[in-house]
Amino acid sequence: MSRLLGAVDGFWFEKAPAARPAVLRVLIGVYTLYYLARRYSMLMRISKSDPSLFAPVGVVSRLEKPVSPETFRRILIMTFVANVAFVLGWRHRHTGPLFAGLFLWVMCYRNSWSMIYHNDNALVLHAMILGLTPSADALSLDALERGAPDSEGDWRYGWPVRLMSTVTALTYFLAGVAKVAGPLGRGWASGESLRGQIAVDGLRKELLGGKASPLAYALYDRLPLFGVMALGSLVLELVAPAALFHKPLSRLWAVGAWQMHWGIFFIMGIKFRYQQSGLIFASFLPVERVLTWLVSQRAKRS
Amino acid sequence: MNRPSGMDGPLVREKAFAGAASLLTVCAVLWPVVQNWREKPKDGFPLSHYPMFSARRSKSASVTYLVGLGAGGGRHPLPYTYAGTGGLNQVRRQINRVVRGGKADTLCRIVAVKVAREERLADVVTVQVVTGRYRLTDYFAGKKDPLSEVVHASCSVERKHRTPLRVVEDLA
Repeated sequence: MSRLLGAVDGFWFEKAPAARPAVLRVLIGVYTLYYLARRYSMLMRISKSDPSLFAPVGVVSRLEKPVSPETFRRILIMTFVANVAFVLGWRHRHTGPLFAGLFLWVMCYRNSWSMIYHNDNALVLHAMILGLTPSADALSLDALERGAPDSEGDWRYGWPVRLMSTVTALTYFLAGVAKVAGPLGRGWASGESLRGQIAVDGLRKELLGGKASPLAYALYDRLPLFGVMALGSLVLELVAPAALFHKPLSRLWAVGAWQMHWGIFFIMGIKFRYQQSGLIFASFLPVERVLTWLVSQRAKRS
Repeated sequence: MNRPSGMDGPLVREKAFAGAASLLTVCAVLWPVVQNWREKPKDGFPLSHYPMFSARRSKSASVTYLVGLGAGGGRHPLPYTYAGTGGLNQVRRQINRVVRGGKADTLCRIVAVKVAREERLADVVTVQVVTGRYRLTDYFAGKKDPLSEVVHASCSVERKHRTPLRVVEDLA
């Protein structure tokens, strides 16, 4: 029993430097800030939509009707402010959870208008993990005030990063399970369903004023190719949790998943920005080494 | 609880808390998996069972969309942006919901007013809300005519008339 606990302890509470969650906080915080700023007008327009289209999900599911656009605007501005504090790591003990809660609320509200954007799920979960854990003990205003912690690392900085990677892997795993548990079962891997999905998506786009990807036309008749892609993506999704237990394998898995999203982009024209940017997989890497590298480059120049 | 060596009381408590929080998060993320076996699965956010690619696809598909008809009988596909705010798929679902709710006429009128303001659509005299059924193999082979079409609403484009454009006001 104690050996098992020791193994769990060593795996889940692996030491990491404070800079690791801090770099993730800055990267993901800047991304959420960009996400919200870029969509400010659209979010405001959505908040003025026909109330009959309101289908609340997540933490807003208890709302019987939409909040007024003015209330939504205030919440959105509060989220911006909390987001800036999150990036700067200012009073993180309070602003981190505040940002996590507000961002969750705004994103649930944004997804409550007849369409759920699943590509945002991991972003919200990652922002929440970083907001609720000590991710501002380095690279932050708090750290300037208090002083940086021991650079050797601490388990307190390791487990939130491990949790982020686990959540990422589980979201892919669930997508794989949904395919196998669906009406086609393992037959999903034949590729016919994937081709149908891509074709329907292209058809919808063209009839609603968009454009299907030229690759969707070029590849449509090559069913075996869709079979390879379907099998590949299914394997990638179902092995995701297992890959977590082996560091090099988990990084290889992340590269595979990242490539899958670029493949979807080229064939379907669907942008998974958080995934395609690679940010979703950043927790699989010792991202703090980028800082060390930047510092060494600067030292070389001066 | 057996402690790995070198752990004191407060540290164990702190780790137990972190472990419990982690376990709770993992269970919460995994919990929606049960929806796969429910008769009427319910999707959520940010916790989901990711049903988007799991549906069985038939060889044909139905899509509800907007069409502008020209004076000379020409067809102009009208972009989803005339019908609502958000991404293509979000507005597509909203159009479906409006049609299911029996409000296709109202949507048609709103779109007609917007079309009336577009110079590049000066030829369009009628707007229709339509559901078309397409055979996918034919469509991707370049045969783009629908197998069938159902017109839910049809309305003329009045170019002198101006009315409020907000979907929220007109559909409510």
